[in-house]
Amino acid sequence: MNDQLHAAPSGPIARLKGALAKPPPSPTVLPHDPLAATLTHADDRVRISHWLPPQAGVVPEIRIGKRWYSTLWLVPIGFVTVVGAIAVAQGIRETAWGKAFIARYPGIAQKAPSVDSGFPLWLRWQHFLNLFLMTFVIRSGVQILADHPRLYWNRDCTPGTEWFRFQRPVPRDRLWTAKDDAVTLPSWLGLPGLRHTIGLARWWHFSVDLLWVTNGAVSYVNLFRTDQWKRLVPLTWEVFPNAASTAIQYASLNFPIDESWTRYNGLQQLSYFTTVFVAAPTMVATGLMQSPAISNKLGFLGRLMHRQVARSVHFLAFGWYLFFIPAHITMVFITGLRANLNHMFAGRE
Amino acid sequence: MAEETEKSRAGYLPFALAMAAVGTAWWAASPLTVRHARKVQKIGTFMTGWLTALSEWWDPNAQLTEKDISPFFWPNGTMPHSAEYEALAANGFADYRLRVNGLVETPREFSLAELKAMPKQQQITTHFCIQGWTGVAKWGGVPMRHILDLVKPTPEARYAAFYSFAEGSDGGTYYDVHTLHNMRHHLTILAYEMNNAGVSILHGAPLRLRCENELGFKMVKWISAIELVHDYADLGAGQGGYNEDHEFFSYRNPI
Repeated sequence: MNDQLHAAPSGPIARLKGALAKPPPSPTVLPHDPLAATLTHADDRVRISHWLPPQAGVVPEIRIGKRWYSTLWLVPIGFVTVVGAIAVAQGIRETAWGKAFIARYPGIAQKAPSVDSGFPLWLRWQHFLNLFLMTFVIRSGVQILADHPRLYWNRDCTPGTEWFRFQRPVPRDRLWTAKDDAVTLPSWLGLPGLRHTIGLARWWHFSVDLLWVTNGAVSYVNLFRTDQWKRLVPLTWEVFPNAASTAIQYASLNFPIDESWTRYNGLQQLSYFTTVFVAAPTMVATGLMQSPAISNKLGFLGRLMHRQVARSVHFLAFGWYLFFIPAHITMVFITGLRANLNHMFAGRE
Repeated sequence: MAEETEKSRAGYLPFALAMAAVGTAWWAASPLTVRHARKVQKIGTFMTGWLTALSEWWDPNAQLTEKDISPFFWPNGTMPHSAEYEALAANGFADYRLRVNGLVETPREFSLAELKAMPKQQQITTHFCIQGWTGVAKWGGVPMRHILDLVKPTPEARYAAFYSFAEGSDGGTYYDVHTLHNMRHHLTILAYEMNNAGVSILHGAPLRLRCENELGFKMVKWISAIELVHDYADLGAGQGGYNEDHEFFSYRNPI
C-alpha cells in the first residue's frame, strides 16, 4: 500500500484520513522522499498549548531624534489642546474681527451646490457596509502590525532605527528572532487576538479588503452617477475659510447652523473628502506596495517607496482613521443625533 | 408648518440594528477564527486566491546595488538542532549531499563542492518577511533551473517540495512547496553565499532557497532534500508547507 510508504503520523484521525485518502492523482506512483515521513499532521484549529506563548508589548512609543516618547503623552496634550482651543475660539468670537469673519463665512460655503435628492437607499447601505467591513479590516490590520511591532523609514529594519514601536528594544545579548518579537493583542482588539496569528489575520485582512474595496468602488460609481458627489467634493475655494469658521464655532462650543440634509459645512466636507478620496486610496496603494511581487515589479517606484515606507504610510493613513472615526461618531451624537441618524439610517430629514 | 406635530425618529431603530450587527460580529469573529482556523484559511483562499495566483505570474525583477545591502538581517524560524545537522556543520558541510528526487528522470545527489562548481548566479534582492520586516542581501548560488535541467522533471511533476534540516515551531520537519513555474524563474536560486561569504547557520547553511516573488517563510533554509511531486495534498497536513499546515498561512504568497 502506498499509504504505508507515506508513513502518516499515528493517531485515530491520521489513520482515518489514511483510510479515506484518495488514490494519488499522478499516474506514476513513487514512494516519497524518506523525509516526507517526518512531516507532521496539523490541527484544523488553533490549539493554545501548541501555539507561541503570549508576550505583552509596551504602550506604543514614537522616536524623536534619539529619545522615545510614549503615545500616552497624547492624552494630556490632547486635553490641553482641546481646552486651549475652546478658550481661544471663544476669545475669537468676542472680537469684532472674529464676528465679522463668522458673519462672512458662516460655515457652509454659500457657493457650494445644494444636493436635493436626500440620502438614497444605496448610499445608506454602502455607508453601513463600509463601517461594518472596516471593523474587520482594522482589527486584522492591527494584528498584522503586532507580528512585527515596529515601523521604519529604512529598508534594513535594523533594531534601533525604527520610528514607532510597541515592543521593548531588541535584546543584544541573545538570539532574538523576528518571531520572538511578535506581541499579543487582546482578543477584542486583534483579530484573532492571539500572538503570531498573522496567517489568519491576513485572510481576514485581504478577504474583507476585497469586499471593502468593491463596496468603495461601487460607491464612487454611485456618487458620480448621481449628484451625491457634490456633497463631498469641494467645488469652491470658499470651503476653506468656511472650514476654519466651522472649526472656530465648534471649538467655541456654540455650534454652527446645520444644513447637512442638503449641504455639509466646510469642515465636514473637507474631512469626508479626505477620508473617502485621500485616505482610502492611500490605504489600498500602500497595502499593495508591501507585496514582494508587486514591489519587485514596480521598478524605481518600488525602490523609492519600498515596503517600509509603504508600511509606515499605511499606518499613518490608519492614524487618520483613528482620528476621524471617533471624531465623526462624537459629532454625529452631539450635533443632533435624531436628525443625523434620520439622514444616514432612514433617509428622512 | 410651524406647528409640526412630531419630528421623525425613523433613524433610531435601523441604527440600533446596525450597531447590534457590528457588535455581534465583533464579539464572534475572534473565537470563531480560533476554532475554525482551517475554514478561515479555505474561505480566504477562495476569496483571494485568484488575486494571488494572478500576481504570482508577474515577473519580479527588481535588483538592487551593493550600497543597498542591509547591515542587519533579522534571523527567524526554528534553528536546526539534529545530531545529523550538527555533524555536517562541524565538518564544514563537506559530507553534505543535496538529494533531488521524486518525479524526475534522473534522481541526483549533489555535494556542496559540486553545487559550487555549477554556474553561479549572484543577485542583490529584498527579502520580504510575512511579519513585515525587510532586508537586502547579496545572494550567490546555483540557479534552480540548472538543477531542474540536470534531474529532468517528468511531465507529471508540477511542484518542488523543499525539506529542511530544521523542525517547524510545533515539531516535525519544516518544508514548503513551490510551483515549477516559480522554480524556473531567472531569480530563483539555491543560495550558498550571503553577502560574499558562505550562508551562515543563522541564515540557512549550507543551502537556502531564494524565490523573489514570494514571502520569506517559503524560501526554505537549511535545505536537506528537494522532491518533485505532482500534488502536495499528501505531504504533511496537505496545505503546501509547514506554516501553511500549522499556522494557516497562505500557500501562495506573492502579496
